[in-house]
Amino acid sequence: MISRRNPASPSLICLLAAGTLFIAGHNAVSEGGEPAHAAVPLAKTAGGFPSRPVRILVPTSPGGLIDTTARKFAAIATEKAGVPFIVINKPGAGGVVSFEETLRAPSDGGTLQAVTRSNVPKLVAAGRTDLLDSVYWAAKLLDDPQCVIVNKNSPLPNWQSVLSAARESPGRQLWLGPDIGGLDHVSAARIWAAAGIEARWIPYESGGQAIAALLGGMGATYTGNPSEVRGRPDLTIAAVCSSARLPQFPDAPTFAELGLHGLEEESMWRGFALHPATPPQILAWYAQLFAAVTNDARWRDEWEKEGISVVYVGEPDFRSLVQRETASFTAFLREEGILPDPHHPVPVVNPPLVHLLLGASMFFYVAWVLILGRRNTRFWQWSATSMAVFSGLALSFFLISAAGKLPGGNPDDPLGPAGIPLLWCSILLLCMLAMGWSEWRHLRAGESAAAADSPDATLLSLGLAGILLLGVALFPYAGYYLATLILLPLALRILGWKNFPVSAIVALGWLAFVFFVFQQTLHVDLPLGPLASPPTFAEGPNS
Amino acid sequence: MGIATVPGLLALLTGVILGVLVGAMPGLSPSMGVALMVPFTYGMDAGVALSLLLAIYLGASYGGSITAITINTPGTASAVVTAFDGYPLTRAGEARRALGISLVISVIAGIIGTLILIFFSLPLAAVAVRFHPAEYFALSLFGLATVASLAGTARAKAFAAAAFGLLLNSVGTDPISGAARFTFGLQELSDGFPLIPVLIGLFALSEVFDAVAKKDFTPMQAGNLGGGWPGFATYWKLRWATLWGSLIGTIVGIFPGAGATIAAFLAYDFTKKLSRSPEKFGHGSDEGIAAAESANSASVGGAMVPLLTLGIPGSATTAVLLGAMMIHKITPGPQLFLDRPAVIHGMFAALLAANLILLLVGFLGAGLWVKITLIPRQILLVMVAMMSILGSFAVRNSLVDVFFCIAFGLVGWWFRRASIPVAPVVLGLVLGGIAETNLRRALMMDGWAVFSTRPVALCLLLLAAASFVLPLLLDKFGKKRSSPAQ
Repeated sequence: MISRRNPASPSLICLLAAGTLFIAGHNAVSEGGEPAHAAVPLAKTAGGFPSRPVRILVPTSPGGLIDTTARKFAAIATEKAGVPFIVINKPGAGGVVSFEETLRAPSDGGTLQAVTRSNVPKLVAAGRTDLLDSVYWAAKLLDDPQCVIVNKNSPLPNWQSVLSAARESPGRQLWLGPDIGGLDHVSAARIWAAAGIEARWIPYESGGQAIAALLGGMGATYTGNPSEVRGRPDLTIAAVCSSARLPQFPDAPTFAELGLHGLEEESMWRGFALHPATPPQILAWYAQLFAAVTNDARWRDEWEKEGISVVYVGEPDFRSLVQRETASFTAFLREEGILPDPHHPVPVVNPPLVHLLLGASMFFYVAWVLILGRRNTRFWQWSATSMAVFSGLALSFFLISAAGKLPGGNPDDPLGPAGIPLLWCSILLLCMLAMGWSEWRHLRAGESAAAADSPDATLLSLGLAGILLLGVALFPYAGYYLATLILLPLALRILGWKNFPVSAIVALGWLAFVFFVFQQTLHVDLPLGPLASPPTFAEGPNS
Repeated sequence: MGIATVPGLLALLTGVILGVLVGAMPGLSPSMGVALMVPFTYGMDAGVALSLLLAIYLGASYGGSITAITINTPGTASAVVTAFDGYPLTRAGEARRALGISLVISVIAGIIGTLILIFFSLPLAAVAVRFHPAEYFALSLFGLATVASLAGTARAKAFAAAAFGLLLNSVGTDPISGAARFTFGLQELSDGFPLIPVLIGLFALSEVFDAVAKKDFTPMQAGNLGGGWPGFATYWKLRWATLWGSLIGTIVGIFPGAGATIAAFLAYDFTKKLSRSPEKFGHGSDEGIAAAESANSASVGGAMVPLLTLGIPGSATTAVLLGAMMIHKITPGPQLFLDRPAVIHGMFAALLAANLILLLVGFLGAGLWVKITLIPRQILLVMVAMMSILGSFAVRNSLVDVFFCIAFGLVGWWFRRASIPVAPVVLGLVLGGIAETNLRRALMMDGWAVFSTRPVALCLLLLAAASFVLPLLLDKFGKKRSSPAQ
């Protein structure tokens, strides 16, 4: 915060640090009976890897299963490797953002990509199977079988009743779960095919919300993983997709027992991938690390009590699994109409949006300079411009929706993706009519014919915006620190702050604050530009 | 569960301080704060670990109001409502009043929310799961209807801003069918507009651009440190606003996915309608701050209801908490209440104690926060811009989000110049998705008949329609009556 210049702040931070250490230390002592786990670090490679912290990129926001998995892995790996493993969340576009970052990062083993089977349908749906093909599939570490969960207190408390009810009203039974085209939906569709039934998939924002709906009797089943019935006595597993009954859930039948075959591979695997050009020595080091974590008692206990198998499958078996699944998910998503016709693939836009956005913002900026730099812009002119922009936006979105660019509704989903946006556009256009009417009345009454507050420093403001945009555009090349070092005093200068020493102190103070708090403590992944030390591991043919 | 021990109390203290700092930093969300601390808790006793994490959650929920009040930069969507009245008070030289009210009311509402959690969690959870998508849809329309009271005089503009937010919300992957909408093939738009960067842009950066354009470089208060701290009489006057805010916050907080933002807007709207001086809302009303902050704070207790009783996270932060509980071998759900009541009681005690500690930490901190208003204005404006850039980057470690932030800063400035309110945009952005997905989910389940077969949905819809139309009618007739006087 700004108050960092207050003398109280350092002592506050020290207090926090001391507090955390004290708690951690106290508990380490209080649990004294248990010796520290065999902390013999793995030997470094000949080239000295690892010498720096390793980043684990997680393709979702904090809180999901893959995030928890990565954090648990990081805790154990940090101990085994002797360098910190740091979890960084890179959510976006179903994993595309995170995978792209992994492929962009140096191939020095310093970046580990957390992967889960959900990434496969997401990347297939995004048309980015190239990402699935290009990473090195280093390790599948967990196998969490898929299962069908039902509410014990509902009229359909087991698989047989679900099956017969589905046969009575084909296509009307409601199966709850997370998003359409996702992993659970695919598993459910495979179960329907194996059982010869038809049902309807009702997507929720998250598995948890779908479970809440099942508890409230909104649907017949929930498709997920066995651990999700834990602590919820109303729920029970109707059937599980594994080759044998799970020892933790002995009462849950397998689908094979119920006469449905070919579902044994339906599991939510989780693991890690690496840059494909990672040197072989480093890959060998990672193989040791994965083996060591897999054999760690804490890791095994943590997962096995949830009915999850702890495994270690590396290349090439992991890759061929992913390839098989890519093919089958592609087929499924085409069938569901989620993937477009293969003969007309969606063009992937290059260069990335950063440049495009920059261009657009610059255009916006220049247009503004031209229009608003003039003094005495009248108030009604502002309103008129606003109305023009709003109407243009609403009309263009309306046309896109109405022109069939978006898939229409169907009996299952009567509104379809275009329905609600059409409604919002219509509301916006109506508002424009109302706004025009009231402005016109005001204008006739002579109320707002006067100049608006007509600030004379519009250009100064636009200049500041321009400097900010330029500074941010510099981040990928100069890095955050260098770019800010230029940006901050420059911004102060154009606001008329002439005391340069103070500017310099503010800039340096801010950068120190960012470095210690954001980069070192919170692990925000700021671009470093030339300040980032180049890959230093002098091994393998790639360096 | 070790609350009354030295490490327990120290964990609460550390958690509250960390939480307040995280909450006060735009771009750092409560969920991020909790997630970052989870690894540090591996070695701790489960009770101490949960105390620490709950204290962070609580502290962060309050911390968002600090920047909302002092520099008009709400760190979270729910703190937007606090900025409506908090920032005008700061500009009027009464930062201490705003900070004091937000802190004390937060603590009181936090305790009320926790008490409701303690005494009514099981029955409330049973009601929450029976909430049909049709009812969620009606609830979100109820939330959207508050735009009518945010509008002030220029209704058409406020409605246009809300529709603009709704339209922005429809950009991205359609949550039901998975189709890409209005993304123009750009991968960066496939998740839609990121809420927090857009929010920071609309509120904080637009304020910077506006101040610069007006060459408004005089410090917010010269020498005078933000007025005096409010006294007991001030708080006593706010008792009804606080009580209603707390009730609305807890109850709306219970519904998974709805959360603190709807609660804050609804409470603000409700309090304004009950208030004797509704004209002060938006210009520095004590009641406005109290309503927003009490709903925001009490929603923490509400969000804990589905988490503890059903193991269902209703928000990003509770999802992280759930993960942390699993790590410490605590599986929330009805079984936990029967098998390990000590764990549950420990968490209740931790929440109550954390609220009291927040009061202490908050008062010590508030003395620091008011000094923000003494910083030379040019430096403050540039620092707000720097923080906006850093904060919008930190949300997803994404540079594109920074561009969104700056672009929406310009949009927000344009809104200000054309006197279009920006708050309805946030309302549209937050509620548009909830309204759409739940309406379509309801239709997928039961067809259009759903509104005739579910009386609760119908009642909520009628209420929403009433709260939408009544202010318009009142306004019309009110105007006719008052026009001769003008």
